[in-house]
Amino acid sequence: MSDSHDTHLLSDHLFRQCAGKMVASLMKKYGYDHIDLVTDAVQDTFETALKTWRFNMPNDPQAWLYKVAHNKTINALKALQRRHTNTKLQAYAISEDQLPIEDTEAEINLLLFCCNEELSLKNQIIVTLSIVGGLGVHEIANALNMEYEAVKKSIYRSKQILKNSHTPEQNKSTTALFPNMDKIMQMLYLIFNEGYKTTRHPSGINKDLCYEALRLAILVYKKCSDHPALFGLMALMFFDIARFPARLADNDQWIALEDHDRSLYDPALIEEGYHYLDLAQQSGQVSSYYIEALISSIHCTAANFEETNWPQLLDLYKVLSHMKPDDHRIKLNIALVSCHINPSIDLIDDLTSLENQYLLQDDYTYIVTKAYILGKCGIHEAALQAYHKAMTLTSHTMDIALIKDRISLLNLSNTHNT
Amino acid sequence: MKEFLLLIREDHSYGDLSPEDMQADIQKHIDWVNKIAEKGHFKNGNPLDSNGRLIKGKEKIVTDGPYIETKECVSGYYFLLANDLDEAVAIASGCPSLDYGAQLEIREVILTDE
Repeated sequence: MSDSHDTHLLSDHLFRQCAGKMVASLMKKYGYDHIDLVTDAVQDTFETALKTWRFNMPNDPQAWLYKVAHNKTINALKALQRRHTNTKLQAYAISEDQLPIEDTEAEINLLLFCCNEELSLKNQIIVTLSIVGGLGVHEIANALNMEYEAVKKSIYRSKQILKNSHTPEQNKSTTALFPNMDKIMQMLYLIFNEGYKTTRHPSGINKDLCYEALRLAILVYKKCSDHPALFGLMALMFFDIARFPARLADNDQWIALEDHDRSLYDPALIEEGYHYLDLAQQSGQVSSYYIEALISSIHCTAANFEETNWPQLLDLYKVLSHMKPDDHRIKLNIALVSCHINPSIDLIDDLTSLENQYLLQDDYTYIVTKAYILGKCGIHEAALQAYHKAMTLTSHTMDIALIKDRISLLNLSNTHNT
Repeated sequence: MKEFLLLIREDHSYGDLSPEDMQADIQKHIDWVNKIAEKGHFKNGNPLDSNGRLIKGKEKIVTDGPYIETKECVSGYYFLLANDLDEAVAIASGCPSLDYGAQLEIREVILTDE
């Protein structure tokens, strides 16, 4: 007990970050089949912290968490050993040696453990966010626009599947990272996009998800620093995150790309983006992540909206569309970029065939983009109609506010024209 | 300045709090303690384990407890410094535990040597 009071500071997200790292280290040490035991011990550690730190903070909060989580795990393992004398946990010596605070290998092993193809991609994302990312059930439900109970069930089931499909051999060796890179990158890309996407989060952007995806990408990079597509993915993430401060207004409304205050783009993050873009370029291999990073870099460096290099963007979207011929969002972007170069009636025909081919009649993003393009092409009546339709397809207040803005702009230019 | 004991009674069930939520909760307490410490109202504090024993009477009967009837227990204590009970109550009213349904008891410590 200390009589003096020191001012304590907890670093932001310490608990969330420690959650994943502690689970990773404990599972590496005691076996991946102990996923339930370990995740329970870690959750219990935080509860103990909550009960006790309010009255008296430990001098080194992080060391305290690691020590207590380790002790709780050891106690649970000993109880398990007493119940089943010949379990395979004999293979793992219980040792009270300190857990390492930073163990990149352990974190990557855990990430690979979660990227299990017996789980759907969505379930892989959920279980990764839960176990590696340290996010709670309601945080994941929020981020992925799912019901609380559905997330809870998904985590529970995924844990059972992971536990059962894991072989003891895998426990002992580090699974090779390289052959699994594609699926890891795909998952990180999806996590990042979930955060970046417009409609799922009350504040429009879920920065936490984006930063978690970036953190994991950097983690993988530390272990596998010569994978060209990973450079592209990291460049893409840095360029996109650099533009966050300009995407939202103080009143939590969307700011359209046209109106971005480009001085708010973060130069340090853009520089990071270029670092990885250069690495990707040097490799001579082209991935879709690299092309997307190039696209994002063009937005990052355009002096203003008007001076955006639209022809170059168009070329890049065409390359991307060639790589992913089934992605209608890319085709939609091609139409969008084209309308900045030459707003012609032909674009509307392209859109109509896209709409019919991919059944986009009730797709919010499609309809709102179509409305914008119609407006640019001067077909105001149809544009207004599409905006009104788009309003029925979203319940997000930020989207509705943006549409209302666009409608009044259209009406304004209508008045000017007549 | 007089010394006051602040006992916190609460039900320890946290449901499904995420690590982030729990850290935010702790941060609220740290902020509160920092605030009262700055003004010289904080002496010290400690948590109490929820396991305890009750020893009763001449027979010295030991039971688990004293909280058999209720899930609520004293989770910890603070020693606060204040000019009088009213001031101590005002200080204690800022305790974030109250927002989670805790019950606070404030008692002046009688210092017999002064």
